[in-house]
Amino acid sequence: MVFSSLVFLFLFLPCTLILYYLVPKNLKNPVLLLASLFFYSWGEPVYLLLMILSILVNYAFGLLIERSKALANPAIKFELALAVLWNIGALFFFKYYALMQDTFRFLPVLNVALPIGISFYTFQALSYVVDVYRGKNAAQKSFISFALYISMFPQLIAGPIVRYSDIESSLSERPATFMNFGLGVDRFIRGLAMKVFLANNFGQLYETLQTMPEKTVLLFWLSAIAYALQIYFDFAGYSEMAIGLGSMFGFRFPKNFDHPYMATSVTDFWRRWHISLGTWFREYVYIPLGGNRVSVFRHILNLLIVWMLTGLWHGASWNFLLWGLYYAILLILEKYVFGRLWAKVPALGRIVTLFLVIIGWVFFSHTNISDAWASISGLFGVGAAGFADSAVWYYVKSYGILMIVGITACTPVISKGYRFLLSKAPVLGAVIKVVLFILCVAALIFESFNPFLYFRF
Amino acid sequence: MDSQKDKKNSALAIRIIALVFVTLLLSFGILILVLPKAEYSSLEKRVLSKHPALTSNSVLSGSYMEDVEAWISDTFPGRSLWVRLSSGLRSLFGISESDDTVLSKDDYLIERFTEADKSEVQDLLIRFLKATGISSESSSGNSSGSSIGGSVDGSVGGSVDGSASDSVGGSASILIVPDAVGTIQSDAELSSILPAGFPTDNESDWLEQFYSSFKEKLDAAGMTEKVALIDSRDALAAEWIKGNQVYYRTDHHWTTKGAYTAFSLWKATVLPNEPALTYEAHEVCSSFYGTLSARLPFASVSDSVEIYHSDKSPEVLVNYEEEDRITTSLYSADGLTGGDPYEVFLGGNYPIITIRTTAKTDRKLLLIKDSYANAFIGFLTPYYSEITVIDPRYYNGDLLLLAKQGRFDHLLILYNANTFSEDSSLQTVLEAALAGKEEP
Repeated sequence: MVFSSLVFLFLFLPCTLILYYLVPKNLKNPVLLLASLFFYSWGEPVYLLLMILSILVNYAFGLLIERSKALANPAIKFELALAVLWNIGALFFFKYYALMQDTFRFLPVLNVALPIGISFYTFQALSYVVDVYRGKNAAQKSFISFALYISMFPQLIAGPIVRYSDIESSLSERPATFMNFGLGVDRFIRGLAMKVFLANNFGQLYETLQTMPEKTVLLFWLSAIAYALQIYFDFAGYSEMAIGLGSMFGFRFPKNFDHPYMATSVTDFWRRWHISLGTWFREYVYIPLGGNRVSVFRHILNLLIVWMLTGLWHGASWNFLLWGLYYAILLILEKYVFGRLWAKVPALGRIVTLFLVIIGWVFFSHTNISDAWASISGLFGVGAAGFADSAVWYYVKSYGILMIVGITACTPVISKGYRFLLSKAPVLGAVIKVVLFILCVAALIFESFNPFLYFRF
Repeated sequence: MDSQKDKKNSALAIRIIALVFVTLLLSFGILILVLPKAEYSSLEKRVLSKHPALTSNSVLSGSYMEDVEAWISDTFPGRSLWVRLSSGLRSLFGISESDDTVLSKDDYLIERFTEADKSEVQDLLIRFLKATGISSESSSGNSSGSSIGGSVDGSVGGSVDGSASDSVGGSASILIVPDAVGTIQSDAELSSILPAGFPTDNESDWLEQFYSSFKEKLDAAGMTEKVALIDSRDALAAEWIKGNQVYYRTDHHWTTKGAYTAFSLWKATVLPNEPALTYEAHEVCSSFYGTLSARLPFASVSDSVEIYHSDKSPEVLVNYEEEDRITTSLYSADGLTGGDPYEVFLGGNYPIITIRTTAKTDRKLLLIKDSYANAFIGFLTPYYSEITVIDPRYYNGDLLLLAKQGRFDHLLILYNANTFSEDSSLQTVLEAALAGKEEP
């Protein structure tokens, strides 16, 4: 099930909310867990079993590792290795086997479909067992609480990747105030609007432009910008909805996006884009590899490893590896060559970063690498059908207003203005937000174009 | 002080938002569960989805969940209001296009035309005509213009003398009809009626190119005499300029007037010596919103649907073979009142229909077509004793066997250019028919 669907909004969510708030405190976690399992099975009926198995295994490993730690049992390393192997093995098999088979043809053909959300819940499970091993947190004794941590429907299928220590206390005790609930609703509507009005329309524009057999330079640019806007509003909108839903049930999830297109450097961009994933890779891959407290050569190697893995995490296709490598190279160059220049001229850093990010999305959006090259050379006039034509003006006229809204929404201006409005004219602010929600529902009913980009994650 | 008040205000706003949100969720949730579900949307002119069957298979494959989402969306309480709201908002943003459809300056809903290379279909058609023998000398002798009594079954062809006039125009004809935009030839004129810059291929140019390359291929195959290529662009454009509406405003189909215009052109080529009938137009539907109006519900202006009647039209027996259903009319009252009034013509599209007529002839026609032909068939019945109508989009039988056994005098391929360009089922059906069956 996705949040931007009518079944979710008008059947699943109200039923879950009613049940959740009606039952006594000790039944709230079980209710939320059952709702989450139903939520998952609505989109992935068969792989529900895989997720439950993963929950059982990681729950057991958590307890086992904690006991070995208390007993100073040397088997603890072996147990951790097994837990990591299980998680990475499942992820590898279900997500990357098809790619391996496609690349190394001698492997037998198995039709494994990618289970939705496996990349997200596997990373959460990994962070849990590793943190128990490191003694950062205790193992969860309650199976229901642990199962809820892995499967909680707001963040189950597209993040944020919540670290266990971030919500450990909320799993047993969380304040249920109407204010928190309301802030969650407010945030959810913001995310829904980002997804339905901005991401879906930019997505439609991008798809239409992709089907054009010939494009002028400006259309190549329009297409690249449309994709950059689509992926941001799609992903950030989804994260906002997740955080808002969490808040409705009393959880506080970490922020996942912080105006990434305002970044002043590529390093800065990755501090603002999909923050929970960046944090995860830093905590569980980059720092264990030695981070930057090693020789220059080793540091460069570490960056390459981390970013190729980050790239591949985004999808089982070689273009994602290329995309990760692209960022590794940019970050190395920034660290050792350009970094100081950006610090002196932030405006230049901003423009160059945005440009590099847009180019990056072209690699990201084309699973076929020669298509990606064609789209990139088109931006610079190679293989383009002239510089501009009437189609550009047609699309600018059609999507211009939304583009202006979208680009403004990439800056903090809109949310600042909205907060100001709420504090000065609360009723007007509330009416605007409610109307926005109603228009989102109308768009969900009328428009058939409502893709979900993270099925491949 | 002030910030205290600001905080209070913000908290008030958040409370209002949360309350209204919960109220909307609950009330629409209840309405979805209790309200009876509509089966048909008159605003969008389409049959809505129904509650899917709940089976273990449909649940495990996930198709049940997808269908439920479609069903809830289609039957959402107050759907037509929501649709108006959303489509109104889109036009407010300046988005003129919805599902490849825009509103022209003269209030026609126009679909984007995307050209496709149809040279393979041309080759297949030539091979098909050869394989059926329809284009060969011996079979053209089968056709007969002379009437031999009113026997509906007709007599077996071959023994009847063919009159000289029948060979005129050949024994097959290709009629690929332009859409409304395809009647406009110059790019400048096209862009003057479409939203500025709307990217679309020029259908008229594509048809021009299609016909000229087809003609070259027929020349090369020595079949020019046998296959008539009928280009109806100018005839339809001329009627339109005269002020006769040849296309519906809200539907991709042609009007009966449009069909008649193209028929007259076709008859002048294929059956030049047969008398023409005079027709009287009867309006059967005065507020016709076609299938395109679902895409831009705000823009739509209604049309009327007409049926052309002549006292001299023969009686017909229409056999919907796959359904084992026989009617005595080319028109369907159910079609008129159902989702799409264009279905008044033959009740819509079926894989195979055979029409027997009381026309005083034993000519037999094989018609391979899309829905454009449905409004055209009424004009053909006076000249054929039997018409076999195949819609390749739904037909999966052996077309070659059918064509050989049917002893047809003429094969007509009648398509709308847009369907012909986009749809690949004709190619599939022809490939299946020819696979391994051609004589060397």
